[in-house]
Amino acid sequence: MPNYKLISDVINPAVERRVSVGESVMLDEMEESGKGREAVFSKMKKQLTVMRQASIDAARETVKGLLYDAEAYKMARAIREGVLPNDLTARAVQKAIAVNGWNSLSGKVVATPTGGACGILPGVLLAAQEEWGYTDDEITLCMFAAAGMGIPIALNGTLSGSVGGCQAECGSGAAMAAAAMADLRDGTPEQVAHAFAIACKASMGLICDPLGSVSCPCVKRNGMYAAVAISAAYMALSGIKSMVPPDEVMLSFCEVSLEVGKKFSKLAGKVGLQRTPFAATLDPKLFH
Amino acid sequence: MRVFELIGPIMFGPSSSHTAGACRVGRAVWQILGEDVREAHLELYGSFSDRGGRGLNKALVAGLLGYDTDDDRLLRCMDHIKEKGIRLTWENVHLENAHMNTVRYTVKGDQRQVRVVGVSVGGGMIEIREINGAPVSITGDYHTAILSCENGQAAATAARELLKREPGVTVESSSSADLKTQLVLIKTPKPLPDKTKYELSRLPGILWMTGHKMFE
Repeated sequence: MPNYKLISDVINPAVERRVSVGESVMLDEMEESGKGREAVFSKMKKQLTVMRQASIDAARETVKGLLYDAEAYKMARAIREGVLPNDLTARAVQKAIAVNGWNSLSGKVVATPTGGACGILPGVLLAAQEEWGYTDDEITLCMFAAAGMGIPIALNGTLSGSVGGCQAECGSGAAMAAAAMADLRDGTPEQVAHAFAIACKASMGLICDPLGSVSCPCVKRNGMYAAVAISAAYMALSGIKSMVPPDEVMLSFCEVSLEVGKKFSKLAGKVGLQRTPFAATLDPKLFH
Repeated sequence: MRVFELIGPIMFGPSSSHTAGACRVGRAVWQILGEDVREAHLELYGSFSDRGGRGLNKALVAGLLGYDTDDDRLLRCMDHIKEKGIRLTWENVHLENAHMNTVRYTVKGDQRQVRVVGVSVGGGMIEIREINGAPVSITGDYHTAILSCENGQAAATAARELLKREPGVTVESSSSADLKTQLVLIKTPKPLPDKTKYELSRLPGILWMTGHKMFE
């Protein structure tokens, strides 16, 4: 069982087996866990159900909190009324905001890879499902690609915003979602790797500076990084390659994430948006 | 590192490290105690500190009741603590060289007491780093049987002999600096058969046996 220390460790078995990255990662997980296809697959599929439910529950008009003001509802309404185009990106952003908004209100979500980034992958995949009519099984399979591709970041860097900045959470989430979308759209394993690497480049140096607990600007960042993931997947599926080889991008991403996380550590005091006059008006007890 | 650590666990927001991971640390402590918790004292460090009286992060407590990260009872766990008459106290502490998300639990049941240091490393993943002063590393990626013994080295040797035909077994020993705590940790990809666990508990010098289950 390959330990996915590098992107190549995830991609190469897919090439050798002549299957999609998602299928290859699932086969590896079956081998590692000793569990059958049905058990492994249905566990992931259950998580898709939780993601979908969160995107629906959060989009109601009445869903509000201290730092969440029915954003998902507003955006759904704007799409419905033609203020925004009813296209893949608009719907992905809306769903990403919904799921992460739900997370900010202590709703039930799936850590993808964390709570702070939990809207990005669902946003992209649920919107892609609507756009192209994929089945739940097809979506579930590409989730394995996302999960497998995230492992090198966990092993070489961190998935924790406290340690590696928002880059570690939303940056990772976007890279995972880009990989999943490329895999879903029948990209080659190499294209999946490039989608991942291109997405990584969009968050080099992104800090973790939330007001209160994982609401602002987290919800909107999830929205924006869903669009990043789609953009990266579009480029890779066009045959565009990351100039820097994916493994080198991933290692650099991890290095920067740890450096920036240390420099902007919350232990050292307030960071970024936490220093704004608006932040000063908030109840100090909100801040971690 | 496994796929369901990257996508998963199912949790209540807002933070996989502060809700899901916190709950899992508490639940690990509950498993290690091996009986119902009657009293718990939590020492909080870093971003787990209780700042300005906001109230203790309830996720740190939910696991002590055996609740998992997606258990609907988690949100009302503080009420359940009161209903069960569990004595709960907490304080902010400084721990040298500790991870940002560290908590030290001292929990008492009817029969015994344990002191466990746990860390929420991110994404819902955890590491138990100390039990009764003995350094350990338990992450939930495998099943862990924990034996408290009079002589850790001897017990480890005996355990290795007993388990020599079990596949994929790792046996480690650890002790506290003052040697008052001596532990043997047995890590396996599948749970040990009941017969084997019984035989382990009957090895000479074993004081008590507990464990932590692999995350599914």
